[in-house]
Amino acid sequence: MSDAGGRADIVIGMVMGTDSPPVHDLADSIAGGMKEYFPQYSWKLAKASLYPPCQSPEEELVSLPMQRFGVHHVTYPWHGVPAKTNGYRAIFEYARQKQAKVCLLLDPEQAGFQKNWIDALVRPGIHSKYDLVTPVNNGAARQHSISGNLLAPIIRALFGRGPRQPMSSELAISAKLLNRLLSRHDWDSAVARYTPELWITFIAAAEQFRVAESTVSPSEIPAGGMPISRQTAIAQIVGGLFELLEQYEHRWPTAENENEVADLFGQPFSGAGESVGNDGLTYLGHFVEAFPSLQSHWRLILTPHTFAEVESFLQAIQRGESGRYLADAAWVRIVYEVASAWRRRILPRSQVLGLFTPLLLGRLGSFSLKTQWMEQAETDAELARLVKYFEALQPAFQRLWQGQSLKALPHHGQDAA
Amino acid sequence: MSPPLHAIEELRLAFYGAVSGVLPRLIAAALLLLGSWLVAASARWAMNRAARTEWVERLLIRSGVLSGLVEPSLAASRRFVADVIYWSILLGGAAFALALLSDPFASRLVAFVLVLLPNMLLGVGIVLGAWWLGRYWSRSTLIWMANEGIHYPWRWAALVRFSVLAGGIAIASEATGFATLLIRSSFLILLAGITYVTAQALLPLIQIYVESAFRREDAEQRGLGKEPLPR
Repeated sequence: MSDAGGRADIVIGMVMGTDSPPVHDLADSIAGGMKEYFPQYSWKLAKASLYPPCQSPEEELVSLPMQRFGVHHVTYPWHGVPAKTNGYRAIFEYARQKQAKVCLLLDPEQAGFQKNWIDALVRPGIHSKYDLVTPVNNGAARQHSISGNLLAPIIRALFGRGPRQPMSSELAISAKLLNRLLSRHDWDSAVARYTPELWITFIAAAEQFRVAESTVSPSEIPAGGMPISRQTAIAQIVGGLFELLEQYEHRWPTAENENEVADLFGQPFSGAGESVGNDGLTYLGHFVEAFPSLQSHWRLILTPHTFAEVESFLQAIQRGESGRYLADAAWVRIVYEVASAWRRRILPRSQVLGLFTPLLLGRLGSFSLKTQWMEQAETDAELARLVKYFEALQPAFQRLWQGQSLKALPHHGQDAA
Repeated sequence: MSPPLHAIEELRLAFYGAVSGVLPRLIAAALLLLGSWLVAASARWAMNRAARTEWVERLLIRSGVLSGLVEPSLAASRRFVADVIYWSILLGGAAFALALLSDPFASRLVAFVLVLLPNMLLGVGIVLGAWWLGRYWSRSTLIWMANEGIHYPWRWAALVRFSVLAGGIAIASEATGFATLLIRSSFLILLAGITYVTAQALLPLIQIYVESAFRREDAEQRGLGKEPLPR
């Protein structure tokens, strides 16, 4: 059923880099999954390149030993720096052309992919009409710590909905959301180019599309080293988030949020969380080393009370206390105050993002240490509590964002959470 | 009229003559001084009021006025800028008041300032621009180096700031023709010094880089240090 004339109910797309592994096994799994779970639907597999193809699509297709799957090489004319977005756009155009009901994006580097992922990600979209389905990798809350500590809670606090892993490369997108994305004119923006998955999930949450999550087996992206430095990667992610917050500030809630957690399909994972590649101490070390150099600048973007919290966090680390944890309330104020400093251009934006990097690493390090022996359910409860803090301070954050006093965020006993 | 009375009468006439000659100018000078004080006080009041708005607060922070103070705070920087404006206007008024009194030194001073004013403004503008640029680049250097874990980020940042400022002073001196020879020579000596220090600093840095590259290669072979950033 892989090729059924000019239409396809499901389009499965992958964006290939030059160093992407061969996708024969992945294509086999996809074909197996489609045959097993969706035999009644027509589908097509589309492959887009991260770089402009040096060969013509036909030549490249012939050179691939995967013709039996009917792989369609798709391209979208573009100029400039290679970005994943170009590949996504080509796949989306192709899916629209095929009038697909669901477009599933997969990461060719995802070694943890199993054919039941197809079922988990596609079924909510094709049967229950969800517009965006993201995976929740079992036991991976600590692995997705930027999402859990920053991206997901802030999106959820401001828009009342949003997935737990907004930066997952595996996404199932409905025709409705796909058309909305294709109608946008910011495909060349920094946020779309550097963090396309965040861009897609943020738009879906902010524009109130129906969002669902599906539990799948743990993610296994092979470690290949980062092509860019850590601080650049963080600046791209956090800068992208702030840009999107600014773009959608008119959609923030004016009253108390009506929170709607994304519907979860599949069984929530219970058991120990996955180990992560670092033990948290590396990140804490980075924070401690950066403190003496950056503290005077942190004073410019943080309120005195929040800065005092950062100082006491440092002292706790230096004393080697077991509870060296950047508290949720302090972390939320840091995020909101830095976001406002970025918005108000108190310092140049790139510098604000650079100043935020050690603070984020300090939080991730302390979170990693705190949760390293926890069961997955406990880690999830920690993250759920953090979301509550983000939600509780959200009205104050709105005032701060709009330029009210730098002392707008409540502190001490004033925390509503 | 007896001689003593005559002398007193002469003194009185001389005094009236002097007073009638000086008084109008004295009154004008006093009025000018009073006027400049009023303008200065109003400007200080307006600045204190305006500085509470967001864009002025932002300007104060971004211009570096705030972080340049001993105890940086928005209130302190507002007061600082307001005081600078107040005293500039008041001193300007005092200088013109002195000139009205026909004090030859004050007149020469005012004339000198008026002639040199455009050049002075240009020079001050260039130096201030260099100071601001130096601050911006040094802060970027500091943040980048601190995030990359490079040692002594403060020193490198200070070097960047100092170099840019020195360059700005040299350019200002060339543009205004002020102490050109002296500043040009100082700048060349400074540049030579910086080049020497940088060369001395680069050698161990290159050594460290090469060593760490070998270590990294070794670690990669053993599968270490390749953990991805959490998402």
